[in-house]
Amino acid sequence: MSREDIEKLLGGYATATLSDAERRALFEAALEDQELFDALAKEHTLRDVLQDPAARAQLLEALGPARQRFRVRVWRWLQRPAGLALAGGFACMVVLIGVAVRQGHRPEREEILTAAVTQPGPPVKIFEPAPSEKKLQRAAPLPAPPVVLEQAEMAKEYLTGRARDVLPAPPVVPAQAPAPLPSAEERTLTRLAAAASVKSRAKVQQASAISFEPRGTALRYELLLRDPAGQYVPVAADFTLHVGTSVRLRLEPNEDGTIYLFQGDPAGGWNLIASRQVEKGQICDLPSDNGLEAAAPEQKHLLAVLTGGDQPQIGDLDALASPSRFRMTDGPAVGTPHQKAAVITLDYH
Amino acid sequence: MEREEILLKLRERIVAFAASHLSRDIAEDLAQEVLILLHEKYQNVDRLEEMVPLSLQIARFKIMSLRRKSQRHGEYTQVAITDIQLPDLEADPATLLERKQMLERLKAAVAQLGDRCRELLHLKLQGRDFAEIQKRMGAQSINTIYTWDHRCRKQLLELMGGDWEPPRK
Repeated sequence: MSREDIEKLLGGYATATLSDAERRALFEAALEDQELFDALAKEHTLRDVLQDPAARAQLLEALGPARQRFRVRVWRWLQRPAGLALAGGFACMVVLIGVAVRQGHRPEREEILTAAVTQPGPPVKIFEPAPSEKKLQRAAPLPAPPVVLEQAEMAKEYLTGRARDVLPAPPVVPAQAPAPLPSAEERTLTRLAAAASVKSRAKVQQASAISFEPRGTALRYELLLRDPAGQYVPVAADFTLHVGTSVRLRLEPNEDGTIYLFQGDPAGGWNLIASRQVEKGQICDLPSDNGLEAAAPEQKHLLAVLTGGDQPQIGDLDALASPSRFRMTDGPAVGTPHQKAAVITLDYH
Repeated sequence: MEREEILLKLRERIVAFAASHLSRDIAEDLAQEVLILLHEKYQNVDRLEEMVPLSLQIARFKIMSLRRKSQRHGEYTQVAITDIQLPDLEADPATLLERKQMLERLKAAVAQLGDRCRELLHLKLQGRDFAEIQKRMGAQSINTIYTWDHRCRKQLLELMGGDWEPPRK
């Protein structure tokens, strides 16, 4: 034992608390160490007093009743009616707080679920350019939107079934392993980077992103924006599109088939601008060659149709796009059971 | 350790201890008296665990006796060797009074101790050893009890003014 440890035995000398081994260790150390011997000699004064049983009794009385062990004290306390009432009250309070906390969370969760399930269609984009920008854009001439005439005519013939043989088969894209969707953090960072690069004004509309998939819809889409590096990155729903901005749609079907992307023309018709055979879960960005751009402020209406089966057929596009032209429609409502459609409006400023 | 070896070491320690209270000559004589007493009256005591407390008690009685005599004679530093007598180791009235005074001071001091120290002292005064106290107090190791006891003793000593004995006038 070290000297410090031996010194700790001093307290047991006066009260005769030491065992034989402890006493021997203390005395041996005291014979070798004068300080310890002196301390022991002083302690002997207290020992003289405490050796007297009457003195001990008086000291014990002065100390009060011995403290019982913790569990005994708790049990005794619980046996008292007041203690029992207190403990019961405390338990009730804990239960009530727990229930209140759980109920406090539940509505929030229900709200989120409701929003995800019952939101009728893609968020109608409301863009509000700055007043100065509005004036400049209005002053500019409004060119006709780009139309791919050949494809549009072919699409009409295809849709009416008159020139089914003429319509070239949509390009078959070799099945690729679906690119993993970026995580929420990556998306946020990418959106922030894109927002900074185009110096857009973000307007807080609602919490939902442009990526949207109502219940029963087999076509999920997301808006991509070309960044300065030429890469198309996802953007938020409240993103303001400017003239000259190039965008694409990222589509993700949840069943096999062919995706057709149409663009509405001023005359009320639909022009086919891209198509691709896809497999369930395969992500495809359309148009794949170039992005969609606007030379002047305008609204572009896009119709994405997913048809299933080996020989894809598309019914009336207007019917697919209606009754709510700006809302995603579900297959069973219009067209054949294998047709899914989504209408997207791009508002360029 | 042999008895002779213990006695030699005891003499050395008692001389040093007594010299801090008395003159060196008196301290040496006092130590000699203690050894003579141990040799003549307590010859059968040969265990270290018994010899040390016994020698401490004899030495303490002799020191107290010398002090009282010096007070009576008005002398503090010079005590004739012939005046040093063997103690009878029974408490005289003066000793009893001192013990009583010390007990009162102790009672006042322990009342100011914290719960843990009071519990520890309570168990010690009941005659329990440190191993039992460890179990009773639910300490993880006996070293914890040693440490608690060391702190409590220090605290009690401070409450007593730094010394068990009352300050001498």
